[in-house]
Amino acid sequence: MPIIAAHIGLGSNSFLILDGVDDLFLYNYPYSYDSINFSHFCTPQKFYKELFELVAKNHSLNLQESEILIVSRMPEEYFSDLNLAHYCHSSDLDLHQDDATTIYLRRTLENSDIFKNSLDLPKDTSLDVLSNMYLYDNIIPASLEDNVVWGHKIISSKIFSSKKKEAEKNILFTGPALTGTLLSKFFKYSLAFSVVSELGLFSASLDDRDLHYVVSLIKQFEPDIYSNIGPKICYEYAGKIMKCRGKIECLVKKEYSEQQDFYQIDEEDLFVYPLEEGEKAHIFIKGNSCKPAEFDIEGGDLGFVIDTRTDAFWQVRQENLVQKYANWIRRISLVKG
Amino acid sequence: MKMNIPCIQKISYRNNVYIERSLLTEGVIKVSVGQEVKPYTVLGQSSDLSLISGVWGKVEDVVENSSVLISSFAIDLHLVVSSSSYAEGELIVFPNPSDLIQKQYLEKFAYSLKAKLIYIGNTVSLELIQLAKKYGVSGIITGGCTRATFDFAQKEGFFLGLFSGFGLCKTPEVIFDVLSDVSTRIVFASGDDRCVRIPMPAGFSGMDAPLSESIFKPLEPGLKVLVLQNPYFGSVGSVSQVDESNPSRVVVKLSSFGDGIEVNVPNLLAL
Repeated sequence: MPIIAAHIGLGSNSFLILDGVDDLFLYNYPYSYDSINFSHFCTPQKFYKELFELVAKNHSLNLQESEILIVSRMPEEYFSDLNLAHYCHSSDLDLHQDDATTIYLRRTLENSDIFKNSLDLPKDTSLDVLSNMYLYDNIIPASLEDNVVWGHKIISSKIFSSKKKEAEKNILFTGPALTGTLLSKFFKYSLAFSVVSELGLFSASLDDRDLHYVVSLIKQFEPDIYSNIGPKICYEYAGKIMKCRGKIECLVKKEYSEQQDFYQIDEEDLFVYPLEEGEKAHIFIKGNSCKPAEFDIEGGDLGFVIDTRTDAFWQVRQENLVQKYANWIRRISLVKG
Repeated sequence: MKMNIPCIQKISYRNNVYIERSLLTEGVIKVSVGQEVKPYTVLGQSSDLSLISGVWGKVEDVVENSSVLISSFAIDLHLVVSSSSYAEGELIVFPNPSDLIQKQYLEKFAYSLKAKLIYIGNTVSLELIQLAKKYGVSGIITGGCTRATFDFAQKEGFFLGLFSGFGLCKTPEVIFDVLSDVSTRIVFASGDDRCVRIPMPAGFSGMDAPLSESIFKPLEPGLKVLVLQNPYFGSVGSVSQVDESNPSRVVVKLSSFGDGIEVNVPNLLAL
């Protein structure tokens, strides 16, 4: 029987479709039901019935003959027009993994506090953007400025420690705050790294399609099916990330190269040394607030990252933040294209 | 896979709504249950004021010396947010003047603005809200305003309803077209129901318009959309181009702007 496992979120939905022939499809859909724009002519039940019918039709499935699993923060009655096999409230979903710590990031815009005057507001125009994001759940700011200013303020994170103690420095970043085609990949990484409060060296992977969430839903409710698909699931390896404080000096020596590159990284900075997948390098770092360290790394989507940012980073003036991001993105683009 | 986007209805046609009309102070109700009324039918009289119907319909209930409940027909214009719960009054529609001359318009009509509900244009400034409040205006409806302006109205308990959102938004043309046809009519703005209710006579054009059969519509050339992306936030246009290789970007031709503009999905909704 085909399976449609879905995470129904706020302005972000992910559907994992198993068509019964061993094929697996992941589909992200960026519109959700909101009472402000839909309640005067449509119920959430009708909205989600139609959405699931659409997803099934697009994958040549018969919805009536498919097993439907849903995880959501929205109440179960929103889906009462669907014939659900399992409904799981988001807070009851187990996101733990054996071999990695999972950090789940989500948008927090359902909080109507934005209509209270308690926010630390850089500028009216940006507050307008945020307020509009509250009015229309589907909106993602299109400008770098608005993403930078609000990106960090509207997310919350939850950490699920690795079941194996020795794997706790492997981190998988996942969640709807990282999905969406409008955010640049680098900005997603930047947001994800900013929620790591522990200092040290980590191996980072990014799930920017919310795959882990729906796979966990299958794992929890259909363990036999999970045992088939589990080995097929992999996430994009970003590289190594060093979280530290203060000024850092870094020496990089690539494998098979005599050249050594020396870098000085400032406080409140995000340094990326691009290293492609398959490439290796030897790193030596020291700083005024961290012990000297020496280690080997392998490349990934980013390579090697040193993140010296603290919470103070997000307090600096908006124009400085935007300028910093523009510089980082330019720097990364020069190497990665 | 073809992208579908949800369709929202900014305008709803109602053929059975109840509107309550009340005397401000105790008086005499002059109509009875079952009676047909028209906008200028006098419903009641208190010591200093006549209560006119303002709507077409039939009297369904009467509260002695106090109020009348009328079943009526209406067009509801959807508001996304408002600063307080309710306002009513004769509708004055400004023809989307620029910011610079909005104030002149307001001052020109100042002697007769008391208790009126004004559609003031695409956006409204804090200064204009202060002025409207001073002139005794019942409420302002508009496309958008800054959060600072909205917060001021909310704090002052002044009705400010937005059709599009915050910032330099525009009023969707479909809404402005309706408003400009019903100027001087008594209208009812409800923050709780998020709508401006415009009474209509029985059999008005559109009353029998079928409800949209499907919530989701294929994102393809010709689809009418509401743009939710600056600097065209609130504008209405039609999709002119969809890039199959990159479905997150579409080109929209706005009715108020010659060239097509690029809009990122999901920053648009079907209309």
